[in-house]
Amino acid sequence: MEVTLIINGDHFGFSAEPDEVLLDTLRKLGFKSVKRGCDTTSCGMCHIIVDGQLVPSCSYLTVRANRKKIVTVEGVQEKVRAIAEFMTAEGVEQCGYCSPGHMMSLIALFEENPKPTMDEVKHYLAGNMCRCSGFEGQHRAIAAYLEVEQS
Amino acid sequence: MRIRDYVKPGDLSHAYERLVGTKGAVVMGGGIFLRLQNRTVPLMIDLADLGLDGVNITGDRVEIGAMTTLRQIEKHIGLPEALTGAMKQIAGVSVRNMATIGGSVMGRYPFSDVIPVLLSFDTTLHFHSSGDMALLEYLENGLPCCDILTHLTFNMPEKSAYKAYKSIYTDFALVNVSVAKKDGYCVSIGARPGHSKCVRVDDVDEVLGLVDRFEFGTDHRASAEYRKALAQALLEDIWEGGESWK
Ligand SMILES: Cc1cc2nc3c(=O)[nH]c(=O)nc-3n(C[C@H](O)[C@H](O)[C@H](O)COP(=O)(O)OP(=O)(O)OC[C@H]3O[C@@H](n4cnc5c(N)ncnc54)[C@H](O)[C@@H]3O)c2cc1C
Ligand code: FES
Ligand code: FES
Repeated sequence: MEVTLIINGDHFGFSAEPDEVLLDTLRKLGFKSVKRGCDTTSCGMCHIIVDGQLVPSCSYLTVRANRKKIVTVEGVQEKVRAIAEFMTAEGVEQCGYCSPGHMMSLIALFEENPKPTMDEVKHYLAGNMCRCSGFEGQHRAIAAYLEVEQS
Repeated sequence: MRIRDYVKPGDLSHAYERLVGTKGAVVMGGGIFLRLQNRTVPLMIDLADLGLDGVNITGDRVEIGAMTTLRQIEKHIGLPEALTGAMKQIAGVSVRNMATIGGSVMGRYPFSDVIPVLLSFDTTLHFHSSGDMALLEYLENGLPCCDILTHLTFNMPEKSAYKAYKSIYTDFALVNVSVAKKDGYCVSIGARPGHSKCVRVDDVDEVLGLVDRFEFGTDHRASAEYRKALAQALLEDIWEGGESWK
C-alpha cells in the first residue's frame, strides 16, 4: 500500500505491507534511534511522537500513519542534547539502549506540561523500562534539569 | 498478527459492509491488543477516520465515542473521578494514547480497569447494527454477530470512586473495586480473576458487607482468599476516604 510519512519535517513516500509497524519502517528509512525492546507495547524503548502524541512504534501500523507527522530523536537533537548533559553528569547511561525512548517521553511530557513536578515526571515515565535499572539516576538528572530550566 | 489487507473507511455504513462482507474481517480500535494475537487477518478495518472519538456531556447524560482514547478520558475534567482515576494506572502514557475505550470494552478483558467502573455506572453500549445493549449483558453473552460499537452512554453518578491493587505500578490489577452512588449503590469488582460483576443495594449500611456476595478465584498471581481480603480492604478504603457516601 502506498504511504507518505512526514518524518522530522521531511516527506517520505514508499510502499508498505498492511501489517508493517512504524518501528520497522523508521529503522529501514535510517532512523536508527528507534529501538526494539519488548515488541509487546510494554517497555517504551520504541517511543516516537505521531501527530503530537507519544506512541509505541512497535504497535503502530505504518499504513495507519499515512500523511501523519512523526518525530524521532533525530528530529529534536537540540532539545535532547540539553537534557542529555544532565544524564551524563549523573552517570545515568549504562548500555544506553533505553535512552531514545526515554528522551521521546520526556520531550512529549515537556510539550504537554512544561513545569512538571517530580511525581508527575515519574508517573509519565512509568511506561519506560531501563534494562540496566538506571531509574534513580534518570530521576536525579531530570530533577537537576528541571531545577535549572525552571529557575 | 499478520494482516492481508487494510482499509480505513470514512463512513460507518461502509465499514460495517466490509466487516460483514469479508469472512474473518476484524475492526481495529487502538490496535495494540489485536497486534499481540497470533493469527492472520484477511481484512483489518481501521475505525480511526469515522469520527467516533470524543466525550459529550448533556445534563446528566454522558456519551463517550468508541474511539476515544484512554488518555483523552483520563484528561477530561467533566467525567466522574472513578473513570478518570481508573485510567491513570493503565500501563504507560503511550499505551493510553493508543488504547480506545471501545477496544477495552469489546475485548471483555477480565483484568480490565475500565469495565468495573463502567459496570458500576450501569453503562449502555450502542452498536451500529444491533442497537443498544447493557454492558452487563454484553459481558455475559457477547454479541450474536459481528458489529461495530459506536459509543457508550451512562448517567452521571452522584459520587463514584475506584481502587485497584497492583503489585507493580503498571501491572494488571490483582483485584479492583468500583463504587457508584446513583439510585442506590452499585459495587463492582473485577479481576477476581473472572470478569467484572456488580451488585446493587439501596441501603448504605449494606455496602461494606457486599464483598461476600462475589466469588473469587485462584490463579498464578493470587489466591481466592487473598483477592477477597484485598477487595474488602479496597472497599473499606473507598468508604472511609472523602466525604460521606450517605
Ligand atoms: C502493555 C499493555 C498493558 C495493559 N495494561 C492494562 C491494564 O493494566 N488495565 C487495563 O484495563 N487494560 C490494560 N491494557 C489493555 C488496554 O487498556 C486496552 O484495553 C487494549 O489495548 C484494547 O484496546 P485497543 O483500543 O487497543 O483495542 P484493539 O486491540 O483495537 O481491539 C481489541 C478488540 O476489540 C475489538 N474492537 C475494538 N474497537 C471496536 C469497536 N469500536 N467495535 C467493535 N469491536 C471493536 C477488536 O476487533 C478486538 O477484538 C494493556 C494493554 C497493553 C498493550
Ligand atoms: S518495543 Fe515497543 S514498547 Fe517495547
Ligand atoms: S541504560 Fe541500559 S537499558 Fe537503560
